[in-house]
Amino acid sequence: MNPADEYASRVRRAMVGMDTRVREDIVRELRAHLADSAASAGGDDRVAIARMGPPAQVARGYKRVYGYGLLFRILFVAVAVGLAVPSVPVLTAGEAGLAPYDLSLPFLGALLAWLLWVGARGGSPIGLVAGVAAAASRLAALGAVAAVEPGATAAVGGAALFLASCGVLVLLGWLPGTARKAWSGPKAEL
Amino acid sequence: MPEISPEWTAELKKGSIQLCLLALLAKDEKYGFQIIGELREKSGGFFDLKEGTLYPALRRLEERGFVESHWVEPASGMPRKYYRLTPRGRRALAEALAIWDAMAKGAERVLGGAR
Repeated sequence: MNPADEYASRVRRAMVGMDTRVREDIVRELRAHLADSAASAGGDDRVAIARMGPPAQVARGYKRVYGYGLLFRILFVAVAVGLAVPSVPVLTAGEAGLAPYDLSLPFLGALLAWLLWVGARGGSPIGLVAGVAAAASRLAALGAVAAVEPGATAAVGGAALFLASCGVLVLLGWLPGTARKAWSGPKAEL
Repeated sequence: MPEISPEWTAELKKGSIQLCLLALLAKDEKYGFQIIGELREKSGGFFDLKEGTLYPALRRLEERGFVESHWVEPASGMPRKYYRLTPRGRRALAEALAIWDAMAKGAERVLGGAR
């Protein structure tokens, strides 16, 4: 593999999560640029590469423009839903009185951490979507249990607490992206 | 050791780079390598930025609807992605130029006294 090929594939790898079509278009453009640039430097690929800058930095610039692609955004939401369902206490609770929340708490903790991460990495729109999806699937799971087995939902520990925890999920998804925007100051763009 | 921070120069460049990119596309469509070369040449080396930051800046202008791009694939030789102004980009350029001119004139009247 020549240096230009290797550089291009390092940029491609660093753009993981972006829409595949956009990513391949970018790589194609970079290859064309490197060929022109190397030709102007007496055919030296390494000069062309040095002028471009580190692959991670180049990829970061593109990521800031395009964000995550649809596939990754769906994945972010799917993981949130996957953690949300077992975080409903009635589904995973041990014996009432002994460990009423049992396994649901680790799942809830993991879900909170996941939503914070999604909100921080992907920005507040996708964080908010993941938070709402998580809250909605918790409510739906609880509703499904209540429909099958009336009375079982008493173990939840109060509807208010459950609803509050759902509200926190939505808030956590939204918060990191919004906070980052507020603290980073206004962006000067045309 | 210079008295002023290098960040100040960087901010000045960052604040004017998008206007320069639009201006370079005002007459005809161009591809990235060509734009970078003209930017460096016409600015007398002032805009000798890392090339990897200019391509995302072009893409940002495209996402904002100010420029559009298309691939040109010649029968022989390298396919290249060309950028050109959209009608929105043309309006943005006119607005930004008016602001720039007002700033340059105003600043010159103030700064002229210090030379």
